[in-house]
Amino acid sequence: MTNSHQLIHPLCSKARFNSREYVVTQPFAPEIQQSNVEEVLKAEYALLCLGHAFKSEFDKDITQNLVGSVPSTSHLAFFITDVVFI
Amino acid sequence: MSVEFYFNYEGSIFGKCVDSPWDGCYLPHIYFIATPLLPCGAADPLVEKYTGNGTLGPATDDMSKAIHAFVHWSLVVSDNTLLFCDLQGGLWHRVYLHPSSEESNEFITGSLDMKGVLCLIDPQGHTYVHSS
Repeated sequence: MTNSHQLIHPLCSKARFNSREYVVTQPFAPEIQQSNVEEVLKAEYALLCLGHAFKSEFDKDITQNLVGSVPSTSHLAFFITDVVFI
Repeated sequence: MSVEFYFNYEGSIFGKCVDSPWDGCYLPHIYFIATPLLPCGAADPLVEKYTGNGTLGPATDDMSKAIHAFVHWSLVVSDNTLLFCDLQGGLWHRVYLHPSSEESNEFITGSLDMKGVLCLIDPQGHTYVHSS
């Protein structure tokens, strides 16, 4: 399942927090319910977190195994089997 | 060539606007995601796609091959429940102010130097949720 919501283009919304510049992302459609906005953005953010977590494990794995065989099922599957990404 | 890449996660925020007496919320919605701003000027590299949404696409360069390997690895270790797609990003420059001795070949002059690191933004994913 993939994201079907159009998000605000990053260049349109910038913000500064703790002396650091950020891009603010929200669904483009203004009529969307706040509860749906929260749901969509949480799914987006969860996927970003997962990407970061998987990349960390990927780095460890290739460092330890160095072009070894691809591992089979790992504990990471536990975290995502009940999550739906929009 | 470096094939290092990362997701634009560190320092990111999932937030909710809270009205205050001196400042309201000027965004269309109260919930938002804020991610660190990447260089996006005219002189900066454009965003490149390394995988498609419905297809993986070709891997003819080292970076694409590394990202495709990561996508494959993630699918396997997630027990075929998560397939990252639409992986895209631009090169972010990491500045080494105090080069370490391990990198002395590259930074032997002791001056500022930069290393191109790919930052992936706005990832998407196909998922499979086991039915109970």
